This record gives sequence, C-alpha cells and structure tokens, in this order.
Amino acid sequence: MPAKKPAKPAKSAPTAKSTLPLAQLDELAAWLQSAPVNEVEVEQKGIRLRLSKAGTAAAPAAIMAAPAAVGSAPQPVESAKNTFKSPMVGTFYRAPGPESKSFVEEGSRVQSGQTLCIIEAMKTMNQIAADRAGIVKKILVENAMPVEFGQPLFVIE
Amino acid sequence: MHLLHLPSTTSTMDIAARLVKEGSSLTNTVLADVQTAGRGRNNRPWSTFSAPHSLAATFIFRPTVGPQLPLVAALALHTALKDLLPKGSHARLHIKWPNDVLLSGRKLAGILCENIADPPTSLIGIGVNLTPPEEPLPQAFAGAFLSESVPTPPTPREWVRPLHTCLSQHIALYKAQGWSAFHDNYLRHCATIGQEVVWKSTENQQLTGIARGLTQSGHLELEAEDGTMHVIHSGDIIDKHH
Repeated sequence: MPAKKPAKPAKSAPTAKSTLPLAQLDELAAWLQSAPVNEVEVEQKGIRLRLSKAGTAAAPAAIMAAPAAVGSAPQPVESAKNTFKSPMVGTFYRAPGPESKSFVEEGSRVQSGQTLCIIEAMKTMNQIAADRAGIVKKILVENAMPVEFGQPLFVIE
Repeated sequence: MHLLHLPSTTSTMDIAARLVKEGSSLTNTVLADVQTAGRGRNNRPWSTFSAPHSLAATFIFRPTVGPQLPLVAALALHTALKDLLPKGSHARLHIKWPNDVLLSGRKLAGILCENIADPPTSLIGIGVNLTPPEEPLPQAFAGAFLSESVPTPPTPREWVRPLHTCLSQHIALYKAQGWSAFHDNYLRHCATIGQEVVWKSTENQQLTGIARGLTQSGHLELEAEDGTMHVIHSGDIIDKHH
C-alpha cells in the first residue's frame, strides 16, 4: 500500500548506548550555540543525532539508533552498523526485471559500488549500490514491497 | 550532442547502459530507427513504430541528476513538443503524472528513467509517436500522433537535437535551482490533478480516489474513497474515465 500521510519512517526508541564520543557531542553542542540555525541532525555510522537549541524543538534532543524495520526486535548498535539502509522512498526490486536473476542472494559476496537492488520511484528505476564490501547475511525486504527512507534493506558483514 | 544513430537495436536503453558501463564519456544520445525489444517500466515490452513514425531515443546525463528527474524530463518533453505545435493547439498537450505526455487526452509520448549507480549516470528513454504507420494500427493502440496537430512533423533525426537541448536546459536549471523552480509549472500542465484515478501497485494492490496534488518532492497525493490521504511514489496511475 502507499504510505499514509504523513509518510515518515518509523523511528525506534533508543536501543543501546551510543558509541559516539562525548567529546564530539560537546563540540557539536558548542558549535550549535553560536550557529545561525536552531537544529542540526547528523547521521554517521548507524547513529542518528539531532540537537536543538533549548526551546526551539517540539521534542527534546535525542540520540536515536537508525530506524528499525517495523516489527523487528530492537537491535544492538553493533548490528545496526551492518545494516544497509534505503536511501529513498519507493518500491524495492531484487532484480532488474520480473524474469531476471536477482542482483544478490543471502550469502553473496559484494564489492563496494556493486548494485544490490533497484528502488523504483516515479517510474524511475534507481540502481542502489553497496557502500562497502562484505557478505550479504540477510535480505530484509520482500521483492516488490514499498520501502521508506532509512529502512534497513540488507545486513552486510 | 554526441549522437549514436543506429538503424536497428534491441532497446536504446540497453545500448546507453552498455556505453556507460564500458566507460564511454562522450556519447550522450542514442537514437534508433527500429527497436526490436523496447522496454518500459519494470521491463514491460514497449513498442515503438519504426522511424520516421516514432522517435525512440535515450539521453545520457552524467552524473545522476536528482530525485525529480522524471518530472523535470516530462516538463522538458512537454516544452519541446509545445514548440512544434501551432499556438492554438498548446492547450491540447498535458502531462500525466509522473511523466507521460498526452495530446487531446491520449498518450503521445512516454519516458522511462534509469539511474545507474556506477558510474553515477541518469538515462532518459523517450518514445514519441510522430505519424501513423502505413500498416493498420494494433487493436489495443489508444495513443495519439503528433501529426494530429502538426501537419508535417520533423523526422526523429531532425528533432533529436532540439529535444536534447531542451532536456539539457531543464536539467541545468534543476541542478541550479532545484525542484521548486518547476513545481508550479508542472502542476499547471498536469492533467492528473483533480482527476478520479486508480492506483495499482506491482503487487496488484489498488486504491481508487481523487488526485489532489503533489508533495514538495513531487509525489502524488491521493484522497481515497474513504477520505484518507495517501502519498503515491510508484506503481501505475490509471485515469478512471479512460
């Protein structure tokens, strides 16, 4: 089904202690105080961080793990590091066409830059490439299913 | 424009993808007089009439353009077609979301975009019906021909260059100013908005409702029969009254 409005990825609660060095957090907070913006959001190595100046955001600043697939059990940050997430909203395809061979299977060894899947949005077929080398341990989405931005698609170790 | 003009090929999309994979950095347009295995969305067969009755071309843009490429390409194609029509006929041209171009409500032209990951490249495949072929039309054909509004349409070879120029100009503006520079113009020409439509997913789910507008990303907002609002980003949109 298409996404019901508002189409926002499901956000999980904090699931594990952050591995982000606190010194970096301090630096970022200090920078934000003098920056001409009220809020900043960064994502790095599976950790998403949103900082807001006091009184400018509806929700308090929070450190969140990357959004988890709906219904999945909370996962430790270590394993979130190994998930490959959807860079866009669209429909997930494992192969270039209905009769074609899948780009990857569970157990496939992939190189950085190798096509993992296609995500279709607005009749455009977008090849999605691996951002690292490794072995595809798990494929988390069924073929031809809708995916949200940031939704985990693969576990690559 | 650096053109590769083939008398016959499987699909201009396949040739363009191969050129990109094999490291070609110059050729940016592939035109074919005959396509033996033209393809549309999700690798569905896509038939084009042989030249000069249809244009079948793929345009290559390096690096990839951006998420609203299919909509920007539709506006560029709409503009290039409008330039061929007499002024009095401009109102007959519309866009069907996301990127078909209609003449008097029937499909005149279609677009298929593909984004290649490595090296980052966008392909824009375009098929346009120019003049009816001599042989009888297939029974299922419900499209339009440019010759209905333009007494002597250009040949594909004549028109491919102005079409490439128009695409390049639109893409340059999109890269400089983003989708907001196009949003209002797209809405003005989009016949889907306000229509009762049926959305069908690849998995044969479907939903009927009224297309109410576009999100800021260019996705279609659909108000279903039960009053709920949905955002459509892929699948097929079918006009209920066609």
